[in-house]
Amino acid sequence: MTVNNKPAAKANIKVAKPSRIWLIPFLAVLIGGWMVYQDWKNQGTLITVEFKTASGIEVGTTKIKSLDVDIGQVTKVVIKPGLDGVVVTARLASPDYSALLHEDTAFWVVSPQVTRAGISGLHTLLSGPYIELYPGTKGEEVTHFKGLETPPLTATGTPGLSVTLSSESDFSFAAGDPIVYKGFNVGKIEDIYFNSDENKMYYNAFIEAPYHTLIRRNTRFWKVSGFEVELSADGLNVQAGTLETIARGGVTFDLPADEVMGEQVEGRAYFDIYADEQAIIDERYKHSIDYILLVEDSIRGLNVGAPVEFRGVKIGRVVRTDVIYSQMANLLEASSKIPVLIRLEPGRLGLSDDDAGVEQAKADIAKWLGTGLKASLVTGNLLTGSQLVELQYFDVAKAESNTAAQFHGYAVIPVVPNQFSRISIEVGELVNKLNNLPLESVATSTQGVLVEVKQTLMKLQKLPLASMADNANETLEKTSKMLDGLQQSVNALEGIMVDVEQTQLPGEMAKTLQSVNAVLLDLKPLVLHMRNKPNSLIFSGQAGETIEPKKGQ
Amino acid sequence: MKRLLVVWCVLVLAGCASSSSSRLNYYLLDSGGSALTGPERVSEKRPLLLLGDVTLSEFLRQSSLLVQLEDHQMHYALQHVWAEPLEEAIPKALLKDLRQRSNDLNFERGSTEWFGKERYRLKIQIDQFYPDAQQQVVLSGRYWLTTAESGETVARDFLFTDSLTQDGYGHAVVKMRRLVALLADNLLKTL
Repeated sequence: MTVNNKPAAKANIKVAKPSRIWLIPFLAVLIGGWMVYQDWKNQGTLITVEFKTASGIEVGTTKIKSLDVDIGQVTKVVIKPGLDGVVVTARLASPDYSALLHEDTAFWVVSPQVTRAGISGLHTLLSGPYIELYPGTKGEEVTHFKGLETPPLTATGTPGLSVTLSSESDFSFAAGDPIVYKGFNVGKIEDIYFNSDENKMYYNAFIEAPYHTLIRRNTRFWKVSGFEVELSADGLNVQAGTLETIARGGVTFDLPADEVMGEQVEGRAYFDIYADEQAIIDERYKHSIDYILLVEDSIRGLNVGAPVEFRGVKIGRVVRTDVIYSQMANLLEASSKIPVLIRLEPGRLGLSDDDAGVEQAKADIAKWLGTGLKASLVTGNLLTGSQLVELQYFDVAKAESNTAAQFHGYAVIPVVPNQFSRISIEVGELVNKLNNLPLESVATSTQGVLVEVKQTLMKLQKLPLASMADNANETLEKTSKMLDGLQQSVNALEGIMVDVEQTQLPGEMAKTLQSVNAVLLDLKPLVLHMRNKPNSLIFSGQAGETIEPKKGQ
Repeated sequence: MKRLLVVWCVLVLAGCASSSSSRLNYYLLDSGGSALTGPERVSEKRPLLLLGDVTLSEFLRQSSLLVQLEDHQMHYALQHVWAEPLEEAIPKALLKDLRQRSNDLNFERGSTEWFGKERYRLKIQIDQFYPDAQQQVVLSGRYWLTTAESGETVARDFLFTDSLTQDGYGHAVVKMRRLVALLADNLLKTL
């Protein structure tokens, strides 16, 4: 067996060349691929945005807009697996728009809306709703977003200051309500949330630049209602805000009076909203002392917040009028007194607003109580019947030492009856005095006097009245004659006066007038002559026959 | 031509200058003679008569003398005028006549100096005082004489005439002055 190691002969195989016709589909594929690549390369970013509902959003129709420019279109809308919203998928029109997509980019649906802040989106009635994109600048580029349910009241990036306001009161504000400073709208309440743990409402507000520099650490915010009328013991108080706040209410702020300007707030700060400006003044003093008044009279008209005054100067206020009824034996007992809790503030008494001031005030008031300081309810406003508490030194001579009196842990300030009660007491005393008058003896004396008068009249009747009457007649006749003589004298005087008036009294004036009159009379014939013959002043003409008196025959 | 114009102007001016201008004649009602014939001083013992108003008719209150031509036609003389208004001249002449004729009374014009001291008060209304168409001068009117004490007033009409014996205003004025004297006589008779 042999092995033939010779190489095998090289086969001459001829491979057929592809036909040139294949070049055409190749080029077509190449061009198609290039087109696909170009299309892929030029298409915008695909983004997804979560909304609670897809109200008004339609696939292929709803646009993505920014600054009223179409920058994309909704391509798909699906419900989230948990059924707690929808995911809207949209394709931006250009990859260049990817620069708008950041973590703080905001999306919201623009549709017609009527809110307290106004009416918006009316132009979408014809064009249909669209999704507004507000470009972001912060963070990395992202493609998944959580859409806003309502349009932001303040555009992102607006210079200013965000503050959080809180309120425990029973008033409320809505998003869009204005923040007002001296009548100018300087910001808005943007959103609201309620903290159930604290039972407080929180309002996020935005103060626009340059007004945000007005917000200081000691700035106070209070409510301004449109039109507020308050009838209290202090009288009628009417407050009116701007036209917008009249319609919607709002919040205003300022620094407390007599306080220096605090440090400017830089970051988000928290402030309380007071009911009104007066509440800020009331809250100015931090330290106070509570006292109890045990009132025998009615406390109708004595409201919480009513002032406590000393000779017209407010030194505190009424805190409660419904205290500790449950701890009283029986409210309906005749001897029961109504407890009223008042709060005195040492700062208002000229003392320091600290613990030392409180202690000093306690000591001083205890001393003053021993010298006759008492409380009284007085009517502050006759129209409304509102009452206030007045501290005054009553009846110093009868001052009692009540400094040790306590009522359920509170020091007691003695109370004297109010004005009407005092008046009724005084009226009662007057009636008692009247009752004690000796009216019977007076009546007896009067009767005696009347009897004497009657007797005197009877004596007068017995007088010779007829002769007395004759004498009286003679006297009257004489008087009548005297009057006649006087009348004649008066008549004579009148005649003289007439002569005087017509001859003397006009004096030089009358003479002058008579002279003027005479001159005029003299001129009259001359004027008549001139009228008849105007040239007679120059040409005398033929002298006529002179007329003069003639002697008798 | 120029010479003719100058001659014409000279003739015109000469004509104006050569016109016969009658001179004005002034007349006084009272001549002024015998002014000192009455009592020199007012005696407080004699009763006083105060002459009050002397009222003239309207047509007499002017300076020209007038003459009645017919019953209803008067003529005011242009060249014959009173030197003194008749309102002044008549009382002056009347008082003069009264003082000359009576030594029983004092006569004064009414003035504040005498008021309250008079016994009689006299008021006169003069209706006519001119030469009339019957060649005579006439003075007519009414006076009121009041006794101050009793207040009694006597009112009387008067009419005095005097024939003119000469032509001219001068003679008429003399006659008119005499009529005033007749009025004074009449008043004294009433008193």
